Amino acid sequence: MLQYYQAGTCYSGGLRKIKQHFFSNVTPELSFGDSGYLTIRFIVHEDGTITIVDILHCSKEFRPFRFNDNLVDELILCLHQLGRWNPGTVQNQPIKSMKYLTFIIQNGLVVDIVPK
Amino acid sequence: MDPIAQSKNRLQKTNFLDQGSEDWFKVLEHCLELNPNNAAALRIKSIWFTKTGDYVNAYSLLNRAVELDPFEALVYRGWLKLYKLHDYFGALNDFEKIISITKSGTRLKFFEDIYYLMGLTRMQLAQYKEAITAFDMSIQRIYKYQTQLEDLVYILVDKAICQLELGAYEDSLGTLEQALEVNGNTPECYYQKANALIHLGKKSEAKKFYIKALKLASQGKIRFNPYKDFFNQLYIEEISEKLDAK
Repeated sequence: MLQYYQAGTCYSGGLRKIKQHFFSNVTPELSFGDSGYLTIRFIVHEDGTITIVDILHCSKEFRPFRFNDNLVDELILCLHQLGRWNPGTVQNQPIKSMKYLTFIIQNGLVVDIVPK
Repeated sequence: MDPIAQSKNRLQKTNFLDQGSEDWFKVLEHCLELNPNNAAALRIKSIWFTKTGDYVNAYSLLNRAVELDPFEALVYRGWLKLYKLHDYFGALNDFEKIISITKSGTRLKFFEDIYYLMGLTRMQLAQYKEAITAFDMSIQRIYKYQTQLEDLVYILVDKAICQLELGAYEDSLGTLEQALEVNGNTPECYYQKANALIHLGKKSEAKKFYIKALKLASQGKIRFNPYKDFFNQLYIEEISEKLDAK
């Protein structure tokens, strides 16, 4: 399956809009204080709907790690609330492609989102 | 042929295969069976994990590659820390190591100039004066070596943003004029020019430049990369919002 950058998969309004959505909807999880990188990988289907494939947890030292489940659940919920994506295309035909978002988390707070 | 040379030769095959495909992985695995210390194979394999957001695996491979061949792998690790992980102190550390290894800092294939990367990192750390010094160094090197010329206009824009942050609005406008001489169709230049003019209280003049930026942006002239957003990535909506506000 092609990756997002190979197929042109994107979200209308781009990362700016994605960040606005997450920053205004994710409740701060101050009590947990986890730091690191949480990646949600998902398929963007031909119709723009998504299916989450897996969730990767990485500590700030880039070692295996486990983020608090409440934070993960909230990020998944927010991701679904984004609605439909613009599917990738090949020869102008929509195709299924892989996309991911990595949440940079400091002390339980989402401080940034990459890559696009 | 000895296994080390075989491993090196075999790695060339990955250039002709789809990155991340089954065959691509098989070739890489074979290279690493022949020579587990093939730093290039480790680095290339790590790139795939990075491109799919798997940083635990990416980092473990990349750190091994750095131990075996600091130069090649450090550049990539620094780039990764800067753009993908926003680990700015870590990136700075790697870039400084590269400069110390190569004395004046080498010219890099596939990446931005090392001093441009340094400048971007300093900028993210709000070390604007140091960022400007690094950008100036990068500009000199680009003119000297006539490479990475496509970055020149954006280095100037980034320098102008730092000057804006420092309150040096006139200097910022001067830098943006230089940028426009390099490429007069860069919406980012007009957008920042308008921002500088707003600071100087010249609102009606600023509006003209926001409109110019919007026009160019609507023609698809915004700097774009399918893989990642740039720092200070410009969006059409951002320009529209500024116009609506002024």
